[in-house]
Amino acid sequence: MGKDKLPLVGIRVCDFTWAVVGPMATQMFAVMGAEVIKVESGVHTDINRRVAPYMNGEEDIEKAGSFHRVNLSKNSCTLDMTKPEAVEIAKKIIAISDVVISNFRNGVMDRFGLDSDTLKALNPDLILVSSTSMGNTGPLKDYVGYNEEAYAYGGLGNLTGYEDEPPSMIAGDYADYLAGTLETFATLSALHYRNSTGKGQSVEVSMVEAAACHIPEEIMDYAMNRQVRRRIGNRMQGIAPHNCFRCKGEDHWVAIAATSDVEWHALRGAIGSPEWSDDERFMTSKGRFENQDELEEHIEAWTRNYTTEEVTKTLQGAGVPAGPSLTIKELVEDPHLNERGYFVTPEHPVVGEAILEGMPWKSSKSQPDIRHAPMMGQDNYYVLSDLLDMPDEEIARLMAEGVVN
Amino acid sequence: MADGALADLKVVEYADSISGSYCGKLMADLGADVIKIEAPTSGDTARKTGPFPNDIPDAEKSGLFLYLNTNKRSVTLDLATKAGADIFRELVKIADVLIENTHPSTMAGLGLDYESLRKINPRLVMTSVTPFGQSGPYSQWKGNDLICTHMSGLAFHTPMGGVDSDDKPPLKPGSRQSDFIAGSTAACATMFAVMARKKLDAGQHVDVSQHESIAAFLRHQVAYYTYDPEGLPYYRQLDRSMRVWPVILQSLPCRDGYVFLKCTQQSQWQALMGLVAGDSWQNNQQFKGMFEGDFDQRAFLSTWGETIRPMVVEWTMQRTEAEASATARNLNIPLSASKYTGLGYLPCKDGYVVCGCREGYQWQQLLALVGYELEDDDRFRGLFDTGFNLVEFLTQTGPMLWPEIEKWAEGRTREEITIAAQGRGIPILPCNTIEDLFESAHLKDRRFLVEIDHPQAGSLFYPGAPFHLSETPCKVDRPAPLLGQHNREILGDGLGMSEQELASMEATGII
Repeated sequence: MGKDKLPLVGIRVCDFTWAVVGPMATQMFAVMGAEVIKVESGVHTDINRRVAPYMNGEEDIEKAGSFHRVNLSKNSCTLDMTKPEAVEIAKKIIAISDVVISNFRNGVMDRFGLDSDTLKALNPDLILVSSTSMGNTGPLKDYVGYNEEAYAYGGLGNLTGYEDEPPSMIAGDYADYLAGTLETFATLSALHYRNSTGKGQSVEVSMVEAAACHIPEEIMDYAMNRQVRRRIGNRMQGIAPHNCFRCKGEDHWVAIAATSDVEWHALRGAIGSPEWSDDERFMTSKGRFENQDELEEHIEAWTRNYTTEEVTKTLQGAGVPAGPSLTIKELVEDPHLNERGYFVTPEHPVVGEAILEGMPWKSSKSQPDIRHAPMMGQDNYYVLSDLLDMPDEEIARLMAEGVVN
Repeated sequence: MADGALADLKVVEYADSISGSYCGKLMADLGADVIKIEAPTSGDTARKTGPFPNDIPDAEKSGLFLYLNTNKRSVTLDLATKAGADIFRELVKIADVLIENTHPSTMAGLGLDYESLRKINPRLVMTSVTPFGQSGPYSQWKGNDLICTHMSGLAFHTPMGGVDSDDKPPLKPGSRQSDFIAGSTAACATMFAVMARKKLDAGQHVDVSQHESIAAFLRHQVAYYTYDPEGLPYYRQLDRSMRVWPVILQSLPCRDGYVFLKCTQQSQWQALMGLVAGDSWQNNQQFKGMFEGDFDQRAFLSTWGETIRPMVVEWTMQRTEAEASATARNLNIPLSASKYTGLGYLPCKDGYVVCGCREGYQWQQLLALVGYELEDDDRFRGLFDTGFNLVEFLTQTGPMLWPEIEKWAEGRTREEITIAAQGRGIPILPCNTIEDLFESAHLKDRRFLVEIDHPQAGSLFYPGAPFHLSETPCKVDRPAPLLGQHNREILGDGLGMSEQELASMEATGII
C-alpha cells in the first residue's frame, strides 16, 4: 500500500519535543505519514544527541543511537529560539501546522513567546499538545522530574522491587514511553474530532497520572479496603506459581505463570507429575498461593536442570505460559520478532544501516513509513524555502546570523 | 455522550481481562459507544480477579473490572452458538471497530475472523491484541504479563543498575504493566486505522503484540546493542559488568557486602594498583607495559581487567565496606559501599525519595543543599565549568558523594527533602505509596482520582483520566456495566429482536 495512503498524510506537526516522551509520540505520527518538523536548537541540542550509545563508540551528535531510536522519519529544522527572528519563523511554521507539541517544563513555551493564546490566535484550529511530569496545573506543577520521578510519584515505583527490599529502578525510560503512547492516542483522538467538527483543542499529559493509570488494581484495593499493596517481586496477588526461575547455565532464567487450575495441572504433567506435586496444598489456587515459597523451590529444582529453551518448549508444549527472561542480545536475535519483521534498518547518511525497533503492531493496509532520524538541520532549506517561501538570500542571512543554526 | 472526541465511533469489544478492555476503555472514556460482549454466566475474567470489597468475590464488584469498563454497555453472547455468532455479526456489521484479545486461532474457529467479517463490513477496523501477535513461531504460545515482560528484555534489565546478589532473578515492574501497554498501543494503532479509512475507503486488520508493545520500551538498550555493544552498560550482575563497562556499577564482594569501583582515569588505576599490588608494583614484570602510551580505558580493561580484578577482590574480601571505602577515599580511588550512580532511590526517614539529577546545575544545587562548599573543594574544580558530562562527573565524584547524600537524606522526611530540593530545581520527588496517591494535595487539586457510583459496588474513587483534552475531556457517564445489563437495550431496541426471542435465548444460554 502506498505511503500516500497512510492515515496522517497531510497532517503537519510542529515538534518542539526533546528527550523521550514527546519524541515517542511524534515518531508514531511521523511513521504513520505526518510531516513532523522537529524544531531543534543547535545550541541546546536534544539531550539524546549527547548521550551514548554512539555508533562504534564514536561520540558525534549524528551517531547517537539514543536519538535515532525515537526520531525516525522526522524532519529537522534548527532554530535558535533565543533570537526573536527564530521565534517569528517558528510562528510561521505553526501557522501552517495542524499539531504543535512540546514537553518542556511549564513556562518555557511562554518564554519563547509561544503561549497558547498566541498560538491559537495564529491558527485557531491547532491541536496543542504538551506533556510534563506533574501536569500544567496543581500546586506542584513547576516541580522538575523525569521518568523515574514520574513513576515514583505515580505509585508505580513503590510497587516495583523485591519483597522486603528497597524499591527497584525500572529499566530504561519507562514512564516516558508509557506517557508518550497515551499522548499519541489522545492526540489522534483530538485529530479525529477535528476532522469531523473542524475544532482544535489542547491536549495535556501528566506523566505522573499516566503512570498511575497503569496500577488500577492497587488503587482500587485501597479505595475499597484501605489496603496498601507493596512490591512483591515477580509474583502476583492470589496466583502461584508466578515467578522467574533459574535454569541451567550462568544467569539464565525462565518466567513461569500458571494462572489457573488447568494450567497448573498442565505444568504438573509436563514436569512428570513428581510426588511433591500430589500434595493437597497444591491442589487449589488458594493453597498454591499460600504455599508458594515451597512450591517455587520444587519448580526451581526442576528448571535448574534444563536450559531456558528446554523449559519453555516443554511447558509451552503443554499449554503453560512460560518464556525465557531475554537479554537485549537475545531480544535482537529473537527468531519470532525477526520473522515478524519487528526490527527496522533505516539507512542513515552517517551511520549507515543500523538496527532499531519498529512499531509494535502490524496493520494490513498501513505499513509504517520508516525513514532515518534526521541530521541536525537537514531540512532547513525545505522548511524555509519550500514551506515558508523565503528567498535564498534571506535564508543565507538567517544562517549567517545563527538564527537558523 | 454526543460531545466526546470519539462520539461518532461504534465499537464492539470482545475482550477479556486487561489488554483489550483497556483499549476499549480509552475509547469509551472519550465518547465512543463501546459494546462489551461477555460470555453468558461467567463474564469477563476481570470480574473474578478483584480486588473486591472486604476480599469477598463478587462478579459485580471487582475493582479491576469496574476500572476497565467505565462507559461501556454489556451484552452477553455465546459466540459458540450459531444464534450467538449471528447476533455478533449483526453488531459488527454496524460497528466501526472490533477489539478482541482472544488466542489467534479462536476467532477463525468461530467463523468470525477478519476475512469473514470484512465481507459483511468492509470498513471495519478489527484490532486483535494477543501475547505474541498473529504470526511468527510464538504466535500460538500462551503468554501473559509476566511472560511478555520477561521475554521483552525489560525484566532482565530491571533493577536498572543491576542486582547485588546472584540469587535475585530478573524483575518485572509492579502491577501488570505490559497488559496496559498493549492496550494503549492497541488504542493508538486502532485510531491510525480508523483515520486511514478515509484514504483507503476500507477498514483493516490491526495485529497488536503485547510482547512487542513492551519490547518497544527497550529502544535505548536495543540501540546500545546494535550501535555499540561493547559499551553496553546493561549487565545484570554488578560484578560482571566490570569486564565490559568500565564506568558504571562494578561490584566487588567484601566482608559484609559489596563495594563499587568506578575508576576511569589512569591516575586512579595507578593508585589502585599501589593499593592492591604493593608499592613496588611498577617493578613487577607481570605488569610491564600496563600504562604505556595514551591511556584508553576500554583497551586498558580488555588487556588488564582480568589480571587486576582478582587482586582487587582479594583485597576487598579482607575488609568491610567501611574499611575499604575509607582507605580508598584517602587515595582518591573512587570506591564506595554505595551502588548508586546518582539516579535512584534515597532512603529517608519515612520512606524513599527518588533523585534524577542529570544536568550539572542540578548536581551543583544538590551538593550545595547537602552542605558541600563547592567553591573551596578541589574535587569539584572544573567539573561544572564547560560542557557538563554526567558520566564523567559520576565516575569521578559519585562514589564519594552519594554516601554523603544518603546520610543527609536519612534524617529527613520525604516532604522536607522534596521541598528543599525542588526549591533549588533539583529533580527529587517522593516515592509514593498508594495511600500517598490518595493524600496528594497536587493530585487532589487536579482531581485525578474521580468518584464513580456503581449500583452494586457503591461510590469509590477510581484512577481518572491519563490525559486531558480541553474541549472533549474524558468523562464517566456510566459506571462499568452489570453482566448482560444492556441485552435488552442493544438486542431489543437496537437490533429489533422481540421480547420472546430474547427470553428464549436467555433460556438456552445464548445470552
